[in-house]
Amino acid sequence: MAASYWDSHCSRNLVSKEQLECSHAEDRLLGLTREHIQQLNVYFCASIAELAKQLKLRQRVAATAMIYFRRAYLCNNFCRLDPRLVYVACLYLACKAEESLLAAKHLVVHAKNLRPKWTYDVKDLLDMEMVLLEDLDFNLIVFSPYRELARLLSDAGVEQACAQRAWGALNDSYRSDVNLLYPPHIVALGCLCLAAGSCGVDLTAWLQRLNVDLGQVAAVVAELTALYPQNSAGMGADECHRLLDLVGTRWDSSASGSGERRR
Amino acid sequence: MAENYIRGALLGQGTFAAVYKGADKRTGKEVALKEIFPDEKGGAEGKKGLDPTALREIKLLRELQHEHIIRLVDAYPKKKSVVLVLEFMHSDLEAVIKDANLVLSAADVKSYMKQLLQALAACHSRWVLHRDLKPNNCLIAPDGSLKLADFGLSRVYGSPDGRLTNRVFAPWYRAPELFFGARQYTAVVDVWAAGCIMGELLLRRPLFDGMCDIDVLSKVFALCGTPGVEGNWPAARDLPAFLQFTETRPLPLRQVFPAASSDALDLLGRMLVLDPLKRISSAEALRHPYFANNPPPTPPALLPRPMKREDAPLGAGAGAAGKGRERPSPAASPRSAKMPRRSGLGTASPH
Repeated sequence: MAASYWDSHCSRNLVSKEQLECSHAEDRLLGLTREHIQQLNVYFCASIAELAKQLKLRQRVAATAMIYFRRAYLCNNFCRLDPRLVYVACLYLACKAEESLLAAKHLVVHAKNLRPKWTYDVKDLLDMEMVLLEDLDFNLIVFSPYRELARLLSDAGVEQACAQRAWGALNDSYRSDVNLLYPPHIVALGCLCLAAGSCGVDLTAWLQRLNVDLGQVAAVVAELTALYPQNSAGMGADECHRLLDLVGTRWDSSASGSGERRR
Repeated sequence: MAENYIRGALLGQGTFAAVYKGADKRTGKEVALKEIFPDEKGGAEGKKGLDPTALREIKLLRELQHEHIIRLVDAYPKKKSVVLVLEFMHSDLEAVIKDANLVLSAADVKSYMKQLLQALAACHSRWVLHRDLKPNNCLIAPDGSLKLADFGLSRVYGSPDGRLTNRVFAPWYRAPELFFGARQYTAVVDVWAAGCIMGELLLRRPLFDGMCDIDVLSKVFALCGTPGVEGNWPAARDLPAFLQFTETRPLPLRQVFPAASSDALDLLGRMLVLDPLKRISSAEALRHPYFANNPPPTPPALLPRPMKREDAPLGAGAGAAGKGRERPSPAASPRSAKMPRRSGLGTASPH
């Protein structure tokens, strides 16, 4: 967290639903369905979380990396830019941006540990860092809802169990699109409402005191709720590799000449 | 995009970057191109990618938009590094201070200090510490206004995690708590440096120009008194690198600055308070009566101008946008002392 949210993140980094719909056009042409894309996103965000955990990085670093990953693919396609490399590069860049410096070599070793099939090296990682910087348009500060949630929790005065659920919901929220679509305070409020709902806490009176767009909050709750049943059958690593190799080969063989594949 | 800019003459070179004059092909406007050197330390390949210093600077300049903070126009990757496209600046405050042909009136000093404190307050309100404040990082724009530059050492503070490195600032502008090894400090470290700059504007020479860290500290204490004397910052003893100096009592500022107005000295005294908890904040400093009293600050356009950079003889005087040349002394040059490398200096980067 830094700087002023309203003149950075808010004006430059939130996207509309329509923009989100338009992303991955080439992947879809090559045969990936929207569900595939969604599941691949979930898979790689989970990989970021796993890798971050292995490296004992703070949750905030992982959250920033996940946002970088999602933003990078607003203008890119899986078939052109291999997400298996991109997710590690996102984490590397997030480490730097969040002041948790980490040696590239170290990260590569851990990435190989986590996914034995990982075929990249330090040079690939550093090249991808540059690509990523440009695709993110050098916007590196990410506003996460963690601080907002802490503030809302203390203000609403909910019980420990409910608060725990809200934190859990927030960590899960990175598997959905809400952090790209809505400002952090709305996401935090959505997580709190979801937790309150499942714990049977009535926040109606408290919510009415807040000056926020409850329609947006409801949309966040809906997105997060939709996450749970579908996610129980997450995509396995093999299925993910199969899909990515598939679009990769299709892209190479189509050789449409409209742009070279970047790794 | 790289194609959009023409690179011109080299303006200055430091340890981490070179600054070139450039022009935007589309508009013909002058810019400064700051080329961060690729990381050579990690072997031939460069093992670390983009230098964290460069990354900090980009990250923060992308966010900070203020009339007294240098504007990042664009950035693009080049080879293994990055080029920052910055507003072109004609000179810097160091050149102003050193130019013996210029007379700085009380109103001029007030104007520089007001602009500087406004820039600092903007950083601090966004939880950004500059940490490398010195006259040659205060650039002078073509319209005469002052713009804070070189955010390579700055970082976000206020997170509950992590201690900060104390190896920041050029020694002459380093706050006493940093010399004593404080790892948790606040925005008033920048205010100390602003106080040093104010003193320098009044004296036309650096206020604490010691040869080494100890020498700088002894000059600080000669002016402000040693910690502990007259209940002055007793907590200093608890800092990890505390050093006991021969006790001296604070010197009345009037004695050092006989010509300054008393409101100016009052503000200066509040900025140069040893105890960081008692030092004035940048926002409070701006509300100090000094800025409201007569004479009003000179409008930037009417401030005295040093020689334009392009007119200046090569290698002398007004040089340096950002990482240009360094001051001859102190021996521990600001650049070598400052860089929070991961390994090596031991203070490394705050986790």
